[in-house]
Amino acid sequence: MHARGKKFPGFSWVIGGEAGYGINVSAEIFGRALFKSGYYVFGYIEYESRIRGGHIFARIRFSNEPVYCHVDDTDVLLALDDMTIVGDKHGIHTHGHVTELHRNSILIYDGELSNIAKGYFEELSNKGIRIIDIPLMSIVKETTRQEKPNLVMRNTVGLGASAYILNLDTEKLIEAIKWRLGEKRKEIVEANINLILAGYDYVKSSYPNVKLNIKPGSVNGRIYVNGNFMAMTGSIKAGMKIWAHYPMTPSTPLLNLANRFKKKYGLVVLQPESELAVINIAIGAGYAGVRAGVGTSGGGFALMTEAISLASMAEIPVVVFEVSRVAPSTGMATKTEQGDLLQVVYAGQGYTTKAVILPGDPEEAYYDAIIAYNVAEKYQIPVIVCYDKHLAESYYTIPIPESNIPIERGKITLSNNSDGPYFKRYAITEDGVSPRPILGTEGVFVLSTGLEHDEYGVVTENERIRTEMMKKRDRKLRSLLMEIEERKEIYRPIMIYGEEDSSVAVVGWGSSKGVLLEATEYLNKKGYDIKFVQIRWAMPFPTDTFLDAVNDVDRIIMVEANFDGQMEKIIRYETCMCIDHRIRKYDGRPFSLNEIVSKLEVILA
Amino acid sequence: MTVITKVSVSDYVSPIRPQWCPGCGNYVILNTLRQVLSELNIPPYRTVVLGGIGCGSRIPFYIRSNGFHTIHGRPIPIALGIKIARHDLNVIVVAGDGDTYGIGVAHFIHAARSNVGITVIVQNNSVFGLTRGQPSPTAPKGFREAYSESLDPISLALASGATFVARAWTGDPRKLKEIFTKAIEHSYVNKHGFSFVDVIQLCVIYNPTVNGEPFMKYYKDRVIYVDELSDYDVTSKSMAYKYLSEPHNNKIPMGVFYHDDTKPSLEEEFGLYEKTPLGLLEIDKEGIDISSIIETVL
Repeated sequence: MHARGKKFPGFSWVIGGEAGYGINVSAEIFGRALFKSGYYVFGYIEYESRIRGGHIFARIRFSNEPVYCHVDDTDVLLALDDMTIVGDKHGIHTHGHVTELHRNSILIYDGELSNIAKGYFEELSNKGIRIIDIPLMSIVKETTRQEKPNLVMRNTVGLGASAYILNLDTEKLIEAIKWRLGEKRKEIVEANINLILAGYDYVKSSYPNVKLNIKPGSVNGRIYVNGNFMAMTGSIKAGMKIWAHYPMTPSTPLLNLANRFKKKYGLVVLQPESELAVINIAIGAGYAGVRAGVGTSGGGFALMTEAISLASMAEIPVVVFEVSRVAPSTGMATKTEQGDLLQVVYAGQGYTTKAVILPGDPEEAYYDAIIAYNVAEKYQIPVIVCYDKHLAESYYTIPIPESNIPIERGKITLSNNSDGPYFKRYAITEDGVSPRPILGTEGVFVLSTGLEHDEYGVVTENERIRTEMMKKRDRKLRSLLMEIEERKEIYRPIMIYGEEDSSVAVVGWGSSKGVLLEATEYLNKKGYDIKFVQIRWAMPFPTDTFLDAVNDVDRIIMVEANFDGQMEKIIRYETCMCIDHRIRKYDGRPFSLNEIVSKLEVILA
Repeated sequence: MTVITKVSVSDYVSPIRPQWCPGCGNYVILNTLRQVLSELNIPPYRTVVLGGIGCGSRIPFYIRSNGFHTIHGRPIPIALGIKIARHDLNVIVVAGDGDTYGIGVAHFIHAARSNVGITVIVQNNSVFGLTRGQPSPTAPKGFREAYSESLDPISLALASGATFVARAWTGDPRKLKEIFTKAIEHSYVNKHGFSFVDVIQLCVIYNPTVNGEPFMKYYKDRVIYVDELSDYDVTSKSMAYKYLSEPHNNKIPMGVFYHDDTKPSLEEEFGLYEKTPLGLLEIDKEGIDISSIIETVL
């Protein structure tokens, strides 16, 4: 037990309890209510691979200035069970969140249900932690007049209590509940409204002075969304019409979202027997001229590998969203890791041409989705958008996207390019890209195969043609790389945040964007001289742009949430450049701001 | 509307010569399929033929239509993707028993279940030819290195909910043609969904005889066509099961075992017939208006 001081802007509200307690929904509602009140909000949820029991918690960090990540300190802890406070005996589920509290933090718990000795809370109180003992369960019973009410409803009382403490208008909470539960479930909404008010009133009358205040800011023109949501929104924007998906955490919300929007946007959503079927269905759709997308995680992607290689050889557009979790094998299903990068980059037998894009926040997930469908069709290759659970499921306050990325479908043609028996589907061209006809056009015959083939798609083992075709497929990637580095405003291969001439570069990718942005900004205010360099393309790797970004720095610090430094390996391989320092993490949890700042301070000291 | 002129067999002939062994049953399947497609007057550019991996699976190179020679076990899901994208096209998978009943058996089961409107023709010779003679899932126990009982694809197809289930053999091209015609009519012409034809054939190199008898003689003596029996009802699944479980006087039952024209196809289930095929939709340069999605999070 120790009481740390706060150092980062905003407040951090944490709710914890067992799976099945509705932690996720409560966090979503509370985050939205804060957002709708004018705060920048970052919402992070951590859960276990189980439907009931265990320990789940959510951290909602909010401020009147932008926040992009979570912190380890907790300002308000809403504990729905004792485990949330003190942990379980061996720390299997959690070590308890009490150590995150500091002087002036507030702990909300239900003294009637808790088995923790009263003396424990007195001790906390002596350390300056403010305790709110609220009979959540009894309030539910009284309010709903049910002897055995739904345990989940305690959360809502807790939300009402938190609203009083944080000066949050209960109307905003009620709106958020209606938004989440829908107007249709009127009775449930009604019951929840009463519980919010009851929780609010209880704290107001029993603990009127226990408050934390921060003025709202302005978040006009913004939305509060997670990475999966924006990846699907971008897919729909790009004209994706067939979505195939076999459920696998943490990619599954993409499937649910596709189903949610399919009617409105005329999507066909397929959940077939396996990831093998998923990717091959999408390849069939791509062959037939439809923009098709699939979602999966590391294990499912492993199954897709052979078909990715087919798509490369047969030059068929397909887009894969690879949402990674902890590996090897099934690893830790609900935890985060940037450990699938090399699997994705090197997927496929031989030289499998493909593109790999690495969004760093939900806004980028949206734009990268559109880019992915464009690149897949323009260059007739598989494109993989790779991000992790942390980006997939964490909520960010981002600007409403206004796409300036035009839809580009490449060399689609209605006319025949051949006087032979088949269309020259694999015509040798300067940029490597061959015309693609519309299937079913009179007089046009499209032949595709995973075997080496000539310009007509006819199988061949001729050594000259083989050599030409390998070069042709490679030329497509060279052409793509040239386009990426020429149209930087769209493809954004490397992003630099901070002063260009900084002496230190912190290099990262994917979901660590948020925490690195805040950490470098925080340290620069303290007098350090750091820029953050974000790598957004792993294949083709934007070597020139990357070298421009880091050539003049004294030190490079690489930050990755994996064991083996997968991006660092790619950098070495692509640039022959050595990294000076590295920060890695592979315990399944994302980097917190505290953690990155203190590790950078040690390196730079 | 395109004016459909008469399609002839030669329209379906590709200039590429098959690399099959002389006497291979694949020639019968290829020629029969060309005949059927032309007699149904389906233009070759409206047809997509897919193969898996193996000698017979190279058929997309030998039929002049749209073709996709895929990877082992996966032609069925690729065909499904094509059919959902282009419900207006005639999509046919021709693949082997290893492709369909071995490595890709899950796709066979679930495509049948979904009733997607594709025709699946399986070249069933109980042996892996191209890899030089290993047993396939339909090989009897003891044939070469086979250590399991052989798989019955007809029962599997029935249990999986296929709406057209038939078996033929390459020694009787007349019946083969009749069954191919009915299968393609079921899936493409009449839009009733999934059709499946198991075609028994020999491998002249690795499986030329059955129980010591020449292939042709063995089957000629034993095959009966259930759909030609006066007391057989092709719309009764229980009758199909009965004939499969109690062979008629030790005969080998073939023909159309079962068809069901009442179930919606997958394309119908998704309401695709009323719409422009997805693969023909154009996308504006600005993309699709997503404001109604953004509204849900405003």
